[in-house]
Amino acid sequence: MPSPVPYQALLLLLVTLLSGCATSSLFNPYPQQAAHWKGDLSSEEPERALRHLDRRTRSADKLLYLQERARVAQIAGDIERSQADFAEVIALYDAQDQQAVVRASSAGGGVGALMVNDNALPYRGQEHERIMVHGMQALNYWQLGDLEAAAVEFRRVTLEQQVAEERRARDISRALEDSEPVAPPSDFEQELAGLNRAAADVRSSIQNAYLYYLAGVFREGVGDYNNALVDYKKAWEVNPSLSLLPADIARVEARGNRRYVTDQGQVVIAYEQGFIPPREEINLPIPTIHGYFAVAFPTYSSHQTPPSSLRVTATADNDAPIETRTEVAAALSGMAARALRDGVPGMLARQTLRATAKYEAQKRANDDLGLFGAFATQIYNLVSESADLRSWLTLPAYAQLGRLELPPGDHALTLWGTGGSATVEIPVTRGGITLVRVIDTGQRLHITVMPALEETP
Amino acid sequence: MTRVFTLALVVLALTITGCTRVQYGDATATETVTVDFGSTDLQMIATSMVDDLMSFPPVVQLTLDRRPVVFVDRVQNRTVEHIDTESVTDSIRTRLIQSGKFRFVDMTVVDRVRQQMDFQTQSGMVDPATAVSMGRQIGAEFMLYGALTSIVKRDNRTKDVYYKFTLNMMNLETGIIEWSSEREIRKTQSRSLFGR
Repeated sequence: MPSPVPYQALLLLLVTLLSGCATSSLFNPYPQQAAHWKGDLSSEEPERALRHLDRRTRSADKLLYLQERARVAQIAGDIERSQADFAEVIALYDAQDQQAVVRASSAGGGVGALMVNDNALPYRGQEHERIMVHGMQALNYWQLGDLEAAAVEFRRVTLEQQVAEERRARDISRALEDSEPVAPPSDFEQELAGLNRAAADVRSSIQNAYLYYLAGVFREGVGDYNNALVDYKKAWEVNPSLSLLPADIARVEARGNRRYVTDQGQVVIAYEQGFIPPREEINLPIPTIHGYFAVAFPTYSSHQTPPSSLRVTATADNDAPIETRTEVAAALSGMAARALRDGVPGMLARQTLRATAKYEAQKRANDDLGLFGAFATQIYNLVSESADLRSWLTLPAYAQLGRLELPPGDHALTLWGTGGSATVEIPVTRGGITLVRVIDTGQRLHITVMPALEETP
Repeated sequence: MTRVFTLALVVLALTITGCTRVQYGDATATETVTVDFGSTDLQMIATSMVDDLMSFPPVVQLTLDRRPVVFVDRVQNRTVEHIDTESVTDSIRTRLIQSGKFRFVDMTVVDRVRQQMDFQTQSGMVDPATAVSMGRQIGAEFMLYGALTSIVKRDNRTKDVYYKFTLNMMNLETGIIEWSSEREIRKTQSRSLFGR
């Protein structure tokens, strides 16, 4: 029998190496990686960001990097590429639905996650991200002029929100039955206070008023008033503070009953402001008689940048300018915080298992590996414990909406946002809808005027 | 040592040779890879629609001594999947033409037909005696149109999909829907507990 010392040291090294090649976020925190392409997006050449991501989309966290690349391509204006990437992301999510509940191939990642940290598990996406994927894809198709495909994706947005809501409700009722904790336990109350504050602003991590509203705009534009009404009402249910909605609901109701006459055209401004904040790490060293152990978990800072609206003025040929400001429809930063808080009980359970595994390893190392081995294991235990900071970071922090009624014809629209100001020429048709999408990276505005939708009753 | 080396070689050989395998299958075999809209659904819809149309008494009467001209409008995709509904209508059209009871005009190639006609009549390169004359095409008498809708229910373990395909044939002159049929398909998929 070989001596236990080199054998165990070898095993430890193997675990480290094996899980080290599984994913690139294991020892290189994800927000640091994302800073590269987010910086490129704000620069003169947004296409450079794509090159940063190309290599990474082949890693175990393929889903995450593809989401980023699809969104980056969308911001950079490469819609065909964005559409192809989002299609791949959707296929990955669909494949996840069909995977077996217990899988042999995921066991390796599980062992890694037990000995190293949660970053060893392949990224599986989050529900609010999955819903946004379909929303963003719908806008891609709309921009490419494929309205039937856009309609498919908007239907998917509704379906995914419904499925996610039901799953959430079921999880809560099951946890209550088993008297498991639904809310985070109070052990880390102080550390999680920031997260709780960040999550307090939104009512749900799943229901997205921005996407419901855009679906309403789309369906109103193509003359599907029944469904448009449902979408606007859903948006109002999710976000009752959105002041545009009562007028929208009244208008669509009138259109459905053929009582609506107008000689004006609608202009909707969709403003995607900033970037969602990255997760931050809380790392607590816990002393025991066998040495120090680290407990690390992700959180969101309670100091989040407040939303800032886009100021829009429209000048018709000889009329006085009309002005409006966008208002927040969906605070995606708050939704991400809420989604994380909902996941805290499961995360703490894995944390406990991992602490036990590492504690056992340390105890064995102290007994068998001598002073140097014990020291190395100690360093490993402290350094390897890092929180899972992965999340889709090129999503906007706030999704905002504004609406104008203008007479038919061409208009100059002037926009002032945090990333600067710009003027665009937009067509307005009688009874039609023109969607102007503005993505504000904080440094510059990326403006797209969607193909105008005209009533086809 | 040698044994370890041999073992490694065997494993390597197995991984390399175990890569890909291509084989031909039956195009009409039942396909149940996922519950998404697939080839079997397409074939089921096309066959049942054509059978239904051909056996509908007024249509039998109508096609007894003449072959009416029909054109296919479109089938709206109202599902949550990107489905090529044109492929479904293509299959239906092909089967109807094969039956010898109907004739079709194709609206999707009108632009290219016009281009060719312009070339024949205006370019001066075509013998006018052989050029096709304008304004002699036959107008369609009937229009085929429809919709494909779906209802999807999904939870952690199962996915249930219900498809409904509706097809109508309208008399263009009178506006009467002469024939209508629908085909429903329901599929359920459960996730297995253990797997790869």
